[in-house]
Amino acid sequence: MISTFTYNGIEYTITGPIEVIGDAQIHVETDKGIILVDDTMEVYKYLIQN
Amino acid sequence: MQVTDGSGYIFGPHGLQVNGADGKPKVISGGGATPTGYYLQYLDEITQPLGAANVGQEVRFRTPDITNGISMVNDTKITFAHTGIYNLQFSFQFKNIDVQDHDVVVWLRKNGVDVLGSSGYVDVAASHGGVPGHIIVAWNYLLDVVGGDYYEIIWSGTSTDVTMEFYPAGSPPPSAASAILTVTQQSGIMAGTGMTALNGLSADVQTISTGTTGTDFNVISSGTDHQFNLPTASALTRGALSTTDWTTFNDKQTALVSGTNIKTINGGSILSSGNILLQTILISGTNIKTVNGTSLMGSGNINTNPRTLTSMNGTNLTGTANQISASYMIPANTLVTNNTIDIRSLLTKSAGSTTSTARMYINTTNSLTGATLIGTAGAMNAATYIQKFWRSFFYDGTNLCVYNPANGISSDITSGTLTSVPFNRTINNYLIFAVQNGTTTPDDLGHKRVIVMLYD
Repeated sequence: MISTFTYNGIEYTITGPIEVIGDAQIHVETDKGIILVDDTMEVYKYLIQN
Repeated sequence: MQVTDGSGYIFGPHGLQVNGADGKPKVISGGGATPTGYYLQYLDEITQPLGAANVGQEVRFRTPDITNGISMVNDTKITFAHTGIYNLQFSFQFKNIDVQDHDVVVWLRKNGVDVLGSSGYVDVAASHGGVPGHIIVAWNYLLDVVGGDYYEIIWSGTSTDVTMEFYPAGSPPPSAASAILTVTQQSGIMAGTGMTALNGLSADVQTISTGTTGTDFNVISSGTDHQFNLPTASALTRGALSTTDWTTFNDKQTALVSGTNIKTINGGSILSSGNILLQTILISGTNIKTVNGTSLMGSGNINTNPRTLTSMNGTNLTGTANQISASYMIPANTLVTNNTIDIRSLLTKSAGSTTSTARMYINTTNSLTGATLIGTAGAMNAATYIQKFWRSFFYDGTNLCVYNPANGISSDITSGTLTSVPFNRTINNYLIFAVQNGTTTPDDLGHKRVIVMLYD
């Protein structure tokens, strides 16, 4: 499982659980807060597989 | 006309008459001729020396003979009272005691101005054998006279040895006058045939003058003058406009036309009657409110504390996706260290069959993609149609200090753990208000009203 990802030039470190909140949206707990990741983001597919 | 009374005496045109032996009437009284024209005869019985050679001087006439309508003023000025054509005849007795001839010149002067072409040159013979030279000079002028004119006769000589000489009576001749002058009327306005009356005045020489007497234009005829009076116009007098008043009128405002030479107020003319109420002078604290003791007048911005960043309506949405119901952009540099953002959202739905969820995010674009969750409202079950969603966010210069965003609760007043969310104040940030329904229909949660307050 990946532990970091970058979006819009900001690197996020995953620090907690992933919560699925919709068909294409998840909340990912990171060092910069809970980030909404959706299927338009490259990291989405890696996170949803786990 | 003759009148007889049988006594042989007749009252005729020349007075009391009687028929003479030859059968012709003889005047025995009152025979003075009735003047039928104007005339003058003067002479001078004093020798008139020449004051200086070649200098003109007036001929003097100091002895009156007969006059009517013509007078001699100051012994030299032949002054006419009536207009007409006159014959002026003179004769001057010159004497020369020098042993050589001398010239004398005689000319006419009218109203103080020499008359062109009027001069005559005469040679006065030299004294010879102890007998002075003599000559009597005479000619005439025909004058076109206007009443009031005066004439003088001027003479000069090349030597003061020439005099205009008076000779006393000798034996046998009587005295010889130094100068004789005769003026007789020839034609024109003869005595008694001139102007008989004008506006009630009967003098045959009359004048016209101007004046300003009276309260309207008028003519005053008095004596020999007709005065035309045009008074200066005033409130009570009809007359001519004074120069000052003309200037006043000329400087008057032209016709007033709204929008042309009259300003308007908010497009409305200020012409016509009525009153325009104007705001009195604005004085802070008197008729201008203050904020925290600070005047609202002047330029610049007054930061109230707190101040409302937005008060807006969101959209109620159906569907199970997590969707944006409302959003607000916090402009860059709005927040400074130690500011607090207080957000109150009123959540409503018109129908509900399952639990619905509302959230707050923050992002640098107006999109949920990549947004950071900063608050989750209390779950709204099927029976809950309205709920307040209240959060306060403290900015410490680096992070927004928020209550645990994942813990759904209506407000953060009494509980919660602290979570720090990075916040870059120097760029625009969007507050995103999202809703998510548990089922597709009929649930339609929305942030009905969102108020964002900023506390310094």
